[in-house]
Amino acid sequence: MSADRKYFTDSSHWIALLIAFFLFFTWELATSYNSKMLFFISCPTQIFIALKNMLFSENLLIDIAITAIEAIAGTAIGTMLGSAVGLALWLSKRVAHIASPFVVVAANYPVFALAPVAIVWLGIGIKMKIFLGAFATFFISLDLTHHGAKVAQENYGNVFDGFRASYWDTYRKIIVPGAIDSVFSSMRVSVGLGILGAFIGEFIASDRGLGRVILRASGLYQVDRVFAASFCLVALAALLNKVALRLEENKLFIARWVGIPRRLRVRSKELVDNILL
Amino acid sequence: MDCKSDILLENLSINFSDPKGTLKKAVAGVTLNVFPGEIVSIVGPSGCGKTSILRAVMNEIEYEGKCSINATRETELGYLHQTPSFLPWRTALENAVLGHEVRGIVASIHRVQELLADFGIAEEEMLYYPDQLSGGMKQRVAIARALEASPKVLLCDEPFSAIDFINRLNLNRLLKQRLALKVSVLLVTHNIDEAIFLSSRIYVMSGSPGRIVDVVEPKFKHFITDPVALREEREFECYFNQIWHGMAKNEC
Repeated sequence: MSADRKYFTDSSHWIALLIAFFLFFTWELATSYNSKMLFFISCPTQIFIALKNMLFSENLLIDIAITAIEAIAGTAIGTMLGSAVGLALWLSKRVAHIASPFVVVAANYPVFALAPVAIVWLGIGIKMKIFLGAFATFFISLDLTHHGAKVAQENYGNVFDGFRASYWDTYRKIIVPGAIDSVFSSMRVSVGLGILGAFIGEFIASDRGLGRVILRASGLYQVDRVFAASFCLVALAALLNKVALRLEENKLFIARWVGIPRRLRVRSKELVDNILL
Repeated sequence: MDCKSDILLENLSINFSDPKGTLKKAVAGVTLNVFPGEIVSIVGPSGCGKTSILRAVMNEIEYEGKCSINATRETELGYLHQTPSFLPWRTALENAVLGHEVRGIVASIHRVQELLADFGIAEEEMLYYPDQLSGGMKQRVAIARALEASPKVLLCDEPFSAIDFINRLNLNRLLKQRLALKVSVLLVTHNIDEAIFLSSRIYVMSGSPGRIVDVVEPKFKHFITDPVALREEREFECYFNQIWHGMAKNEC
């Protein structure tokens, strides 16, 4: 990284921190002289105290962990299934064409509207929240991965020109590894949607989780607790996004694993060991 | 089909639609053939439809007339692009063995390494990913990939256009050594020197619409192995001028 660019990135962090500090300070100042406003939007210090109490006296960490488990399981299932179907759809343009309107409708179906039916199907336990998380992420993963497969064909399809490669060879050597990029991109988008699905499930019916905490606090007009739990939700989303980014760093390894025969990979590794190391 | 030709084009015409939707002729009445083991070039100005002819041979676009490859050779066809694509998750070496992999032949890595080394790719560079290779190196890997698959018929679409002058001469020399009498090649280029050095027959095209205006068969007193020495040959200037005037007959 050049010195100029490093300076720019460092200063950007400071500026963002300064803006956040300014917003919190204005919020605190505005509510300290107006009790009505304090009731409606609370203030940063009250939120901080509420968060401290919830963490140390009310086992908020367990609620965070439950929401995290539901979101991670929902995102993982939805992304994996969605990506697999999205890749499989590349094999038949006709089926993809027929499925297209169904995917558009299902992707736009509000998860909130499905929640009451999900209770009937799966009860009010963790399965229902994981299902909602998976439903929220499935179609977006399907759509993005299918698009990624088409882009892979456009970008790398002519590698096989003249080789008279079979459709199956093109699929496993170009399309699947070429679409890995899109699988990871869809995972980053899906993390937020998975948390939303889990949250909605908890909001509708649950006895634990951040959704339950927010629902109960809002029923008692405890705005500070609502904000405290919301910030935990945002922090969880940021953390999972970071995890998704870390996983994305391994995309080359995964693309190689799925797109290169084992024998060739082993031989290449031997050469790397002999020549480069 | 003429049983002796590996590639035969008879009265080939290619049309395309302009942005207004009007049908225009890109290539008109092209007739040529490539016999086994022969390197044949199509030389012409940019935009005269040279690449379209190759795409017609590959059956990638619609055309009128006759365009065929010897059926027994069709499965052993290679294609060299002007801007070759690589799979970014494969190293240069792994990209180079693709042809054999697709044909289900167990490729000897050692043989591919030798081939890449012949084309000036160092051992470490063979383990580079495509985004770590320069334009010239990519082109050399692409040529090695096409040859590694041992094609019997090779279509080349200006394969040296992105390579510097020195490397271009070296590759011309190597390609002539490797291909002479073994592979039937249809080479598209706008470089007259290259065409004269590599080919036994040159079809000269002129533009709007692209058509063949002349056929040149360069013949020298001895077999030329060095493209630098080519310019010193007495016949060179004569062939160069003949091609040059043919190309300039109706500029694109």
